Amino acid sequence: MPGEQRHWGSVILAGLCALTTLAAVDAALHLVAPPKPLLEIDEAMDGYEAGDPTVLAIGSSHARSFIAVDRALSQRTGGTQHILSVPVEWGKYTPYAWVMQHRVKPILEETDASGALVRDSLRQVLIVTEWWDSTSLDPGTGSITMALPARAWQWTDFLADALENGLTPYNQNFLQRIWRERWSRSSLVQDRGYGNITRGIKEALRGKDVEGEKASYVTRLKGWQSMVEEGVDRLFDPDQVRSLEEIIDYFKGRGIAVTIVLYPRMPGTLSQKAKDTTLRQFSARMNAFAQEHLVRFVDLTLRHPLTDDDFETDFDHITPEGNRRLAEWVLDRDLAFLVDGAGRDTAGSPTAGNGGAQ
Amino acid sequence: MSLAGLEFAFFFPVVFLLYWLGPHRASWQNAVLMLASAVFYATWDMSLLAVLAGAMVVSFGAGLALGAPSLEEGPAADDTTVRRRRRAILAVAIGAELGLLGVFKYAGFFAGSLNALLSAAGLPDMLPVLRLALPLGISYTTLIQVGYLLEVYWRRTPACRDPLAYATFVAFFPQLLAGPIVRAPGMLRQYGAARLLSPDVLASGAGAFLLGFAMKAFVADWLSPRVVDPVFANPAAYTAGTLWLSLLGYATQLFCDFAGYSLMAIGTGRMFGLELPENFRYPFLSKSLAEFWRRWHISLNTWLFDYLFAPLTTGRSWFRGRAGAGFLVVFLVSGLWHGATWTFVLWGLAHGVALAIHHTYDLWYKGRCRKDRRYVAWRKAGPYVLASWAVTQLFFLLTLIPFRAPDLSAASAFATGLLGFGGQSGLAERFGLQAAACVLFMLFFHLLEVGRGPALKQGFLALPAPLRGIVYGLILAFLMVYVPVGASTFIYAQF
Repeated sequence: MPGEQRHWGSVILAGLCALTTLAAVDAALHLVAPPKPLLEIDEAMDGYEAGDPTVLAIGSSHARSFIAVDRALSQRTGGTQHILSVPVEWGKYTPYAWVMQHRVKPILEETDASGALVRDSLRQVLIVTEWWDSTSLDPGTGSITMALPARAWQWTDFLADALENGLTPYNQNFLQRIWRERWSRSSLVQDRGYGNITRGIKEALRGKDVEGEKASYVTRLKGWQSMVEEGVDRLFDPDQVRSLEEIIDYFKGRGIAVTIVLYPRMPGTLSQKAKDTTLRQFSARMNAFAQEHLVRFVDLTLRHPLTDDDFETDFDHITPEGNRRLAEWVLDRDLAFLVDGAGRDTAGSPTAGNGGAQ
Repeated sequence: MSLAGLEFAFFFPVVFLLYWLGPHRASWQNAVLMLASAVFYATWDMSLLAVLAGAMVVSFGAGLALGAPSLEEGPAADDTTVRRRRRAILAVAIGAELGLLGVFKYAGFFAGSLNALLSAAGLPDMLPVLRLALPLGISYTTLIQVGYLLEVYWRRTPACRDPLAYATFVAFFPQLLAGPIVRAPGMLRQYGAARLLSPDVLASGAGAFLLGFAMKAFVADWLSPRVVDPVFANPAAYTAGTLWLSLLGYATQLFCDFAGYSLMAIGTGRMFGLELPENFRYPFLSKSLAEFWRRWHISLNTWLFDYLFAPLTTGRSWFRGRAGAGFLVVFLVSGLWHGATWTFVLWGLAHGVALAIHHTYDLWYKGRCRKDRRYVAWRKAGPYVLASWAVTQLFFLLTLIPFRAPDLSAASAFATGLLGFGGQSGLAERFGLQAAACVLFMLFFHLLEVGRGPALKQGFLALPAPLRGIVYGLILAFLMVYVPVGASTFIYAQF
């Protein structure tokens, strides 16, 4: 073996210095790509166990907008009403149904020794959605199919799958998540796959590539628009509809009112074709679906107080300031019933939204 | 599970702590390693664990039978009956091991080839073409066990009487996926005694693992999807320059992938106090094909030369004294070992023929040297050395075409494209800093072995511990930023 005879002291010292260097580099990279802590399902479920919320907002990453709605609602109700957001990254109803069955249900149905529910405050469920959620799982889009192990599984789910199938690229996503959770404050770990560090370093070395960014914006916008336009052919996939029905039936069966909320879309990114086809059809069909299943329907797709500046550069998510504005706006209007602390779903009468993409 | 995957970061610390914190006994250490190896194997395919276990039972039992006192010692040891009985045991055991490999790896190839031959003659298919899942590492474990049986048969090593030590020797998880192919004399002794954790062993193990990881995850996994895969998928579409670039990229990828894996396995072994055999020794410095094969995949080539070439060319068969024919057989076997396809057969044939030609040339040149001492001086002169190096590396590079191409027609399209008869496409990707870093990494790695390189290496290792630590920390940070997401599997794991 190469090198001179070493002592434990020198090996430990070298190891410690390596770790310190790594930590120092990581800290320096916080300036370029600071980790952005996001609410994930695990944390949401911990919050459920600890907080006994009155409202559950389940959806894709869009459900995180309801953290701001929760703050505004708590303020207005003096803390008597509390929304818990359950964000299932990448969306679609089949993963939502899985999360409901495997993560929400055990907490919701937990009873004490006398058989009484441990948490019985839940009165409302908001299903935060958009057209994308109703489309089929595309086998070519790995990021969607890996959503559950990457976001929702627990160790028992991982071990069951690994015992049955061995370690696969699918279930390895769970380990990725555990790793990322363990190092949630590390830029080096959190930036893997996003490339903000390399972009930041490039910018520091070569300056900002304004022309390149413009070109990239145009390309991304084109891709985004055509994705929305083409979505019209894939709306209301039977598997997804079944999962949505499963969610609605479960909550309604427990006397919990359900509201379908169509999430706001960034105005400047929507072509007229997208509005006339995918968005209009989705809104109309979801409205009909809501009426058929006797649930409330709120369409914020195009009817919202936000401008393009209130959206992130990914065209999809709302900025923190935008979320605050949206929260106040919806609690004054479509979601005002949350402020009133509406009780369990007894009437089952739907309230169709007005305007929207129709 | 792979040594370069994230799951290994969960797996290794558990095994490491169990291994070193448990009783300081060989039996405990072997049991931990065996259990870990079984888990490692099961993460790929639990159902095929029985195949490996069955093969190990056969070879362990045969080893015991070959080394049984009644056959091993006493006046009867040289009796014809005893010799025949030992030979029969060896034949049955090796037959079983190779038979297993044949069924899983080659049955489909031979049946398919025979059927193709029959259909060319207008006859119907004769054999069903089996498509069986290949048990993990079967090509490696088979050679390890056959080597062990031959060693015991030739009485070079005593039969192993500890089943746990034997199972660990065959299936130790770092070597399971892609070698190195361990040998009984060196390894069984290590498994027979309790290992000690020393700072040297831990430090050099961690260093080897880190270097191997950098080679695999930074260089090989970056080159593969950008420079190699798209071009080999459709060689006819690319310009000659792009094809040459891609071929160089593949040579770099293959080396960094396989040598990287070997270093990671060796490093992991060291961290358990075990020294696995060296598998690569700067092959791109080789100045002849014979030298190249002493530096590339050393554990396979020494196996083939010790257990196939040597008995063949020193035995009583037609091959006796015919080294050229021996090379041909060895490399045809090597080609088939790499994969049951005609491209690998062609690759093996090319190397066998080239080695035979080189051997003949070498004998002729040595003859000239004996007659005229100027030939000795010419051989040592710069132009001769440079030309030898260039011819050797160019030959290796060109034979990588059938090695990498999916079939013979793709290999042919690639080869003609190299001569300028290809398409017009270049690679869309702009090669920036990372491509340069991959090339520099390779150059630097090999230059560490020539001139002042070794002194430089020693100088680094002699630096004060904090300085070395800072360098390791910076390397780790660099890898965490620049290693592509989603490490691919190791190329040699599929063989």
